Amino acid sequence: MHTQLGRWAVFMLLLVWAVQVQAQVPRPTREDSIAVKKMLDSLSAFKLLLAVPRPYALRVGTDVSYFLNGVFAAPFGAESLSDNLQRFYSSVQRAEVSAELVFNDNLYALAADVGYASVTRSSANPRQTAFQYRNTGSYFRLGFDYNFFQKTFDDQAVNLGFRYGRTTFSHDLIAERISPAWGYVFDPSKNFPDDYEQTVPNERLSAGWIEIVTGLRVRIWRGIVGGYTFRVKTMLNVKGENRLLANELPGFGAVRGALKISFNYHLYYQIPLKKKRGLGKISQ
Amino acid sequence: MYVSRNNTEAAVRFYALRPATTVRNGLAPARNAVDTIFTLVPGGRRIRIFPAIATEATRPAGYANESIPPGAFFLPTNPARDTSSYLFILRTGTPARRRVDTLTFAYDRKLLVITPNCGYDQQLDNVRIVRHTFDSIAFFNTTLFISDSVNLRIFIR
Repeated sequence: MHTQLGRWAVFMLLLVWAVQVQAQVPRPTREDSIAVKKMLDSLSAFKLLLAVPRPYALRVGTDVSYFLNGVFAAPFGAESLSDNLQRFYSSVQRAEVSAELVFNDNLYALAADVGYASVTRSSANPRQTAFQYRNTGSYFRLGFDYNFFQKTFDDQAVNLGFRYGRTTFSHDLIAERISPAWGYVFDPSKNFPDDYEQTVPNERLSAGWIEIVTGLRVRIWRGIVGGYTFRVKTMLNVKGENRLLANELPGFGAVRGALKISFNYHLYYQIPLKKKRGLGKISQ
Repeated sequence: MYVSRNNTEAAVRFYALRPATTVRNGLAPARNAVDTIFTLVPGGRRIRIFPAIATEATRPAGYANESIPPGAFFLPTNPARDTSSYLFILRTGTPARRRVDTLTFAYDRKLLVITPNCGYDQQLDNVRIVRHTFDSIAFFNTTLFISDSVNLRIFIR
């Protein structure tokens, strides 16, 4: 009996305390309402992200960094400017078509790249064993970009996103065998083995990689949009390797280390898919 | 600058397998190591002494800093095959002690292009014994590295 009475007393005390606390809570003021409204406005981008995708524009273009790389690299070679240019473009051939489908008032985009690359590496050091490595293949990248400046700009974008890349390629190596013990010594005056030069072919390889990308898209003139993409990539796997390990991956670049950083510059033509409703934001 | 860790030669050392010796996991007491001296076979036609077999004293200058134990020697692998075979003729001065042994081991040759300036590198992986006539033999690592002091230990009575 005493226990029950004690419980009731504690309950009543708590009830009285709760009512008092409730009475002390201030009612929301007009300033509070404005602050909440501002916060919700700042989240409107995320609401848009979750909204039904509405196509905004389609950008179709190409990666021009291949052409810029040769021009920038040419002055630093050991030979003349034209020789360096010729050597670069004869050893590396690359072409890429890119497309971006932009949704929800330039808030996010689905990106796709398709390309072809052919790279030939030859020994540049006469003290090393002579070799020639060739790598040819095609690749694609698929991914997503989120525009952090969607509320500020109409057609411009500062993106952060990711990509998944995949390539199928073949490569081969032609190299000299050097082993005095087994008779592989380069001496044209003597009879050296017929298989002194070895060819190691390797076809039908595939590889995948992922990228975290950031970039800028700026309308240059009318429908022409330019922008760079800065990529941090890491390779996932290579399938089909035999004796020859991959030195290059089309679309990825040279395979060295766990992480690779690269930079691309794209030019696009933008096809609007949605009519504009006046100048609500900063526009060039 | 690329510095290769890979080796295309197997560092070999002979050990005397005495009755009291206990070999565990290919390890034997260091005091059982046998010093090896290679001599040319005068006028030998069918038997070829590899000119590249080198001991600690005759290694090229580029290998001078390696910590190769005395008595070890190097077996260069065939760059055109996935197996290499060797013939060992033990001579102790008396015909009764003349002994001929064979050794064949296999490996996977992996080629990797580094850069146009550095050239290409070759790695011997999955090294394993195919055939031998010694009393006992043991490879330690399945990949040959230049940092390995001894790759292959051969035990003879």
